[in-house]
Amino acid sequence: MPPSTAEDFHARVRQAGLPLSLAETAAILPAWQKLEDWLELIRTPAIPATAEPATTFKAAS
Amino acid sequence: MIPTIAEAGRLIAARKLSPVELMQACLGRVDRLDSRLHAFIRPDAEGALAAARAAEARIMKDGAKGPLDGIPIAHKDIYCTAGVPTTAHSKVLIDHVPEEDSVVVAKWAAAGAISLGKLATHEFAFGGPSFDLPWPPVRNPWNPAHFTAGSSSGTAAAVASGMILGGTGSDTGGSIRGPAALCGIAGIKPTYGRASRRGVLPLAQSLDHTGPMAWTAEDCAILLQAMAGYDPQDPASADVPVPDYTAMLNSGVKGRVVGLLRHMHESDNPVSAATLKGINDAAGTFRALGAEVHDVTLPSLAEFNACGWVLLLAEAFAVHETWMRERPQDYGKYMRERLVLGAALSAADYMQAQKRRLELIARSFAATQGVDFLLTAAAPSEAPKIEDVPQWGFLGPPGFTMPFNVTGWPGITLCSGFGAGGLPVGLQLVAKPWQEAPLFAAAHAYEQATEWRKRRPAMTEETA
Repeated sequence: MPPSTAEDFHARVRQAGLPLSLAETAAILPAWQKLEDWLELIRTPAIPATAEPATTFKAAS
Repeated sequence: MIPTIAEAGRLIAARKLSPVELMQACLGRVDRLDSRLHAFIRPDAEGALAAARAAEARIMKDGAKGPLDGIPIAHKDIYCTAGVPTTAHSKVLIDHVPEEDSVVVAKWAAAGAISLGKLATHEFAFGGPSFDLPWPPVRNPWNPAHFTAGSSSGTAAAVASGMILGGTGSDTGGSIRGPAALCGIAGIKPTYGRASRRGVLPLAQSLDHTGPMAWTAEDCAILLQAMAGYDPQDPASADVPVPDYTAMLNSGVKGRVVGLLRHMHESDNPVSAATLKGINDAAGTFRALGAEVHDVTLPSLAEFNACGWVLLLAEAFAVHETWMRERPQDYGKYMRERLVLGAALSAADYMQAQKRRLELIARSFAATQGVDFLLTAAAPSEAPKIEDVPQWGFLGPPGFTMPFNVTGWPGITLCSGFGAGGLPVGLQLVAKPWQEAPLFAAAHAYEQATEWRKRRPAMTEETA
């Protein structure tokens, strides 16, 4: 996926309820774009037909 | 001469060392050094000295309770302390005075340890090094122009400079093991679920660990003994027996298998020459002590860090969501802007990271069958100058500690030498879940076979 634009990122932040201006979020955009690279790295390609395993992490179990 | 906890504990129990004199020596170093280091945000000299006098009277009458009786320690300021402000080094909690001690604070107090006060941290164990908080960032005792790493920065600096003999840290992505490396001390992140987090301000609950920091692995074993154990009120806590860590301390590494994670520190994130030499020399030391050492390959540092940081950022925003909406200006710039990244993540992003986490754990177990310990770096080099630390460093070259927050496996940092600038470098030794006892034995064997525990920061030699 192409990296987010400043407007895309600002919309995400506003949707989370944070009262930041476009200029304020634009300053953080390069960091967000790096995080998007990481999201691509960990994203699994498809949803398997079978039930997913539990995703609540507890090393003790 | 600054004693270790083990040494001081033995002398106190034999009534050959006065807890009051030991405390006075530590308080003297706080007086002389902390104006340059800023390790403490709330020292309590009067309370500590009064507690030492009471401990001395009790020990002279009844004997010592154990190896921590009368030992000077301090707590990272995310550990709640009854009646004493617990601020997380933040304006957000500047007036926060807990009514109860955290479980670990109470356990160490019951064992006789005496707190000198509250220690600096990166804001909420995440935002730092920051110059726009109510207290300044901590400086490295080996050279105060340099960074300590974080977030348990105050604990690392206070231990390295002998202001305390041990202290509490917390580790969500490396906050014990990173500062231990850059300050030349020992610090263990135990197995996820080994020690209670109740009463410790959270950063990201599925990655948060409590753990001890001290001068040696042996001291970390003594401190973890007093903080480990099942806590039914911590949802991550595990009802798993706690072995006697010091009983196994001299069992060595003969016959053990050490997996060298060469890809992590040679190609995933190539380390400095001094750090690499420390790791390779340690591999040689373990071989000489009777262990087998061979290369092991885990998933890449990039995969582990991508997964771990998505989890951390999302969970941290969930903790701070209300304050971030209502009073964002009360955070420092670094913490506030990092939390904004968490706000922008979606529920789908978080679930993808959780799915990937289970896969990474399964791959890690599969790659380490028959392996007792893993060996790699704890940090890429010696400490940089504090003004050279980038705001978004955690998004740069992938770190060495996050993999074991993702898996929940125990990892200890040990000093493994010194870099060209004269500051320490560290290695990381990791074990399978609940294997802290053999991990301490391996770490102790390494420290006994090397010279690094004999050298303290020059400033500790200064006289009043």
